[in-house]
Amino acid sequence: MARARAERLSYAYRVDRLWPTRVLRLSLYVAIRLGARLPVWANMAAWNAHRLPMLHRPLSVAYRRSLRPYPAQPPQGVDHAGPAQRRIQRRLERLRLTAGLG
Amino acid sequence: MHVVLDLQVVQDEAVSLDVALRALDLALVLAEAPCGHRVTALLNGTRPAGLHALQQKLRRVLPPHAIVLWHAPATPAPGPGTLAAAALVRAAAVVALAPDLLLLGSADSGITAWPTAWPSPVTLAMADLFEPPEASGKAPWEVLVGRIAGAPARRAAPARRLRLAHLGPLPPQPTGVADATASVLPALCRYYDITLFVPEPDQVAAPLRAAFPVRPTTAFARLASGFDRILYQLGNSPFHHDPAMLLVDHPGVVLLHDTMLGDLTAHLAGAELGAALFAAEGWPAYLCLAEHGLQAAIRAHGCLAPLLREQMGAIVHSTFGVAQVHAAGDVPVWQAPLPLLYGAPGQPALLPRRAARTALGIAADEMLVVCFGAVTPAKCPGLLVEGFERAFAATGRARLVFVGALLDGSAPDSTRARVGVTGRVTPEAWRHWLAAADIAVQLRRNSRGETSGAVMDAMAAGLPTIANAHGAMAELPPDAVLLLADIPTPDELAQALRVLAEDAGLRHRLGEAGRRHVTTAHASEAAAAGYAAAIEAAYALPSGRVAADMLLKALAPSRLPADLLAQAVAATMPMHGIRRLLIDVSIVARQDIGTGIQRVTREIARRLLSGRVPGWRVEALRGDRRALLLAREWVAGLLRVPCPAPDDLAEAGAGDRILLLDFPGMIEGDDMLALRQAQARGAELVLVLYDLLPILHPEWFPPLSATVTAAYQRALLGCVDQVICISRSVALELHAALASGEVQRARALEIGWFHLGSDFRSDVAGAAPAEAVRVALAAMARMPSLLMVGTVEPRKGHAQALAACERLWAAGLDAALVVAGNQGWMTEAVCDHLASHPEAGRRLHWLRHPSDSDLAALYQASTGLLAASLGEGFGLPLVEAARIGKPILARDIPVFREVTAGQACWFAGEDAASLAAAIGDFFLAGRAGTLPGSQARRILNWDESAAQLFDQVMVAPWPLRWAPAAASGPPG
Repeated sequence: MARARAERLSYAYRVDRLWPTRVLRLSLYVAIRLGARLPVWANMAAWNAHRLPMLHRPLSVAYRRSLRPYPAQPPQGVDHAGPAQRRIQRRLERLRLTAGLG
Repeated sequence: MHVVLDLQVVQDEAVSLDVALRALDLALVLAEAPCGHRVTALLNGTRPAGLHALQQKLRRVLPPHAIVLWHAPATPAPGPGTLAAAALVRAAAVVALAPDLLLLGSADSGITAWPTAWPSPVTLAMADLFEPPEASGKAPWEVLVGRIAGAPARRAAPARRLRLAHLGPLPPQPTGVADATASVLPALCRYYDITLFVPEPDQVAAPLRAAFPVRPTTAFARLASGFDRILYQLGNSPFHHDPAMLLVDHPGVVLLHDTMLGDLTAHLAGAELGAALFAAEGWPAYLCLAEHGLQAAIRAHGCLAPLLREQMGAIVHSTFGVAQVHAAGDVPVWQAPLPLLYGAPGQPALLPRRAARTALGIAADEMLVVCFGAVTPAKCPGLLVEGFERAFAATGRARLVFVGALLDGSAPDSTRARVGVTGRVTPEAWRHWLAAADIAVQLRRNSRGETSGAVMDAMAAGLPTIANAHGAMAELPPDAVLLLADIPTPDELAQALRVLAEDAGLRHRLGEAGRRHVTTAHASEAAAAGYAAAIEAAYALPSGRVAADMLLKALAPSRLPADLLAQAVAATMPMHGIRRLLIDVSIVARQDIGTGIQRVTREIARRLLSGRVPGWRVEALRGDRRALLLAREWVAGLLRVPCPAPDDLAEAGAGDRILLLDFPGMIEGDDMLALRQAQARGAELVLVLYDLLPILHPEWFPPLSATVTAAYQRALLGCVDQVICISRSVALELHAALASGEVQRARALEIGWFHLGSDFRSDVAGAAPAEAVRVALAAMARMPSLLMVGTVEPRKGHAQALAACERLWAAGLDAALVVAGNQGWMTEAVCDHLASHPEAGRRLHWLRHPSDSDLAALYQASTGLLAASLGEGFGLPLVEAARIGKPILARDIPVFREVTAGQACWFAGEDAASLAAAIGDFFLAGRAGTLPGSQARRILNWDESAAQLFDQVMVAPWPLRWAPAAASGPPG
C-alpha cells in the first residue's frame, strides 16, 4: 500500500518536472536544426513547450487525477464547512430570507 | 497601472492551442518585464488540468500574492445557473483586485454576467495584441498603453445622494458616544441621507426624531440592502449590543470609540465567554482567562477581530487607536477627529465664571481644580488627590472636585475636606463646572483606545488642562495642554498644579490655546468630513470585503444551494480577518512517540502558540484525510487547558503562512495534496529542515525508508516558499544541493536557519537510576570515560568508537566507553557486538533506555562526550554537554564546529587507529587540564530558540537565497 502510494507520487513528481515537454521540445529543436520548415506556431512551441501545461496533457493523466479538486473530507466530528464558509453561508441565507427568497 | 491577466483561456480545453499558447506567452512576457506596472494573474482554481504547472510557470515571474485563484461553485451537473454564478464569482474576483485594465485571453472568454452596478475596468483581449512585435515595431507594454488611451473610461459613480444607515446609541442614552453622535449628525447630513436605527425609536431625543427618520433595529435586517452605506458606532459597553449583533451579517464601516472591547464581548458571549474569547483572540487570551481570570483577560485583549473581520473598514479617533486596530487584524482603518460635545456651535453658552460659582456655592477666590468624567480607577483618582494635597498643602483656599459618576468603588479619600465628588450631573451642571473651574486635570491609565470627550470639553471651555501622555492623550498638541509623563509621580503633578495656580497669565494662555485647538480640529464639521472621507474610502478600497458583499447580494437570487455558493465565495475571498501562522503538527498529533523532532515540535509550538503576535493569529495545523484542520484538541492537551473549540477546517489560503515544523517525511500523500492546494490558494509554505541526510546519504538508512523520505523531502523542497534549517551547516548543504541539481527546483528559494534550544537540566531530580546505569556510573567514577549519546545508527560511528576503544584497552588504557541510546536500524552487527562484548559491564556500558535524570548523571560523571557521527543536522548532545562544561571529542564536520563554536577536540579519520589516537590525546589533555570547552557555556533555551525561529520566519531578511540559473536563449 505504502509502496503503491510512493510510486504514484513519485510518478506525479516526475511528470511534474515536465519530461514529456522536454522530449517534445528536443525533437522539434532537432527538426529545426536539421532544416525542417515548420509553421511559426510549432517553432514557438519548440521553445515554449516547457511553458505550456496542455502539451503534456495526454501524457499526464495520473498527474491530473492526483490534482483533481476534491471536497475536503474531514474526519467524523468535524464540520464539512470551515468557519469562513459557515459565516458566508449564514450571510447568504440571511440575505435570501430578507429578500423573501429563503 | 494595475493590469489583471485573466488566464482562463489557457486553462480552457476547448480553446485552440494556438490562441492558448500565444496568450500564455504574452502573459509571461508582460509579467517578466512589467515596466513599472503592476501585474496580477487570475486563474480558475476549479480547472485542474495543468493548474499546478501553470502556477509554477507564473511563480517564476510573479510573486505568489500576484497569482490569484477564483473558484466556481462545484455543482455535480453544471447548468446555466452554475455558469451565471461562476461568472459572478469571477467578476467579483476582478472587482476585488480593482485593476486599471483587465486583459482577457480572448474576446470570447469575457465575463458574461457583469452586474451594471459594479465598477468595471477597461477590458481588452490579448488576441488584439497578438501582432508580431516586428510588425508593429512596438513592445507589448507600449501597445497596451496605446490601447488603453483610446479605451472607454470607467463608469462614473451614481449622481444621487447616498443613503446611510446609522446604528449606535443616541441621546438620551447615558453614554458619551450618544452625545458625540448627536453633535456630529447634523454635519454628516451634508454627505448622506441618514436613517437612524435604535432599539426604541420613541425614546430618542425629540430634535433628532424631528431631523432624521428613526427606525427600530429589529427592522434593520429587512431594510439593510436598501442602503448604500452602513455606519456602526461601537464602544466597550452594553449600549452597543445591537450594532455588535447586526454588523456580522451586514458589514459596513465601524466607528470605534474604544479599541478594547473585552467588556462588550463578555456581555455578548454570556456563558460562552471562553469560546468567545478564544474565537476573538486565540490561544494567548484563552490561556490568560484560564490562568488569571476574566478581568485580566478582557483588560489585556481587545477582542476586535471577530467584530471587524468582514467590515469594510474602521474609523478611530487617534493614531494610538490606528495601531491598536492594526495589531488586531487586517481591517483597513482611518483616523478622524472626535467631534466636540459642549463647546460646539449651537450648544448653550457657558455662564460667566462668577455666576457659575454662585450657582455651585463656591467662593470667588477659591482655586478650583476639577476632574471631569466618570470616576474610575483608570482616571487615577488616588494620584490626583495626592498631587493636589501636595500642591496646595500651604493654602487653604483650594478645592478638588470630581465631576462625574462614581464607578467601580474607586472613591477618592472622602475624609479630606477639600476633595469632593458630585456624582452624575445634568448637562447644565456640567456646563456650570466647566465655567467655574480654574484648572482641569484629566489623567488616564490602562487606556482602551478611547479618546476622552471630557478633555475636549475642558479644553473647549478654555480651561488650562493637565493631562498625562497616555494612550490617545499623548497625541494632544504640547502647546494646548500641560502634558505630564505617561505615569507621573504625585510630585510632578503637584509641581504642574503649583505652576498653573501661581501664574494666571499662563492659565489664560494655555486655556486659549486649548480652546483654539479643539474648536478647529474637533469641530463637528471637521469630524463629519473625516467620517465621510473614511466611509467613502472604505467602500472604494479594492478589497475582498467590498467585493464579497456585492457578490453575496448578487448571488442571493441564485437557485444553487447556499453551501455550494458559500464554498466558492469562501475559497475565492477567504476572510479570516487576520493573518495566520499555522504550525504543522500532523505527525505528533497523530502519534507522539517522543522522537527528537517531535520534542522540538512540541517545545516550539507551545511557545509560539502561547505568545501574542500583533497582527497574527498562531494556530496548530494537522492533515487528516485530505483536509487541513486546526488542531485545537492537541493544543489544549499541550497547554493543559480545556479545549475551547473543536477541531475545524483550516481553510488555508492567501494571508496564511504554514510552518512545516513536524517531520514531513511521513506526511501522507493526501495531506501533501492538501498542502499544495493551500499553496495554490495563496498560502506560503515554510519548511523547517532538520537535515538532508536521506538525500545526501541514503546509504545510512533502510532502502525503502530512505527512498520514500528523500522523495518527500525533494517534493517539499521543490514546492515550498522558504526553508529554515536547524543549523547554518544544513542551510549551506541545501544551497549546495540546489546548485548541483541534487535537489531540483524551478524557482528561487530563500533559506534561513535557527538553532534548537535545550532545557536539559543537569540537576534534574528523577527516580533512582536503573541497575545498569548505576554500574556504569560506578565504572565512570573509577576511570576516565567517554559518553556517546544517540540512537545506534550506521552514521553515528559506534563501530569505529568501539574498535578504537578495543585498541586502547589492548594497549593497556583503563578507560570506559558508555553508549546511551536505543538500537536503531542496520546496526545488528554493532549491537550484537556491544551486547556480547567481553568488556560489557566492565569498561563498556550500553544503556538502551536512559531517562533524562540518568542522562544528566551520565553527563556529569563522564570525562567527556564522544561525538563520532558522520552527519547531523544539529547535534543536541554536544549542546547538552557544553551546557554543563563537559569537554567534547568530536568528528570534524561543519555542523559540530558550528554548534560548539569551535570549543572541542577534533578527529578526522574513519578508521579505528585515528580515533584511538585522538581519544588517547583527549584523555592526556584532560589530565593536563588543557581541554577546550571545559567551562560551562550559555546555551539557547527553548524560549530563545522559538524567538529565533519566529524572527527568521516573520521578521528578519533571509540570509541565503538560491536562484536557478538564467534560461538560455531561444534556438536559432
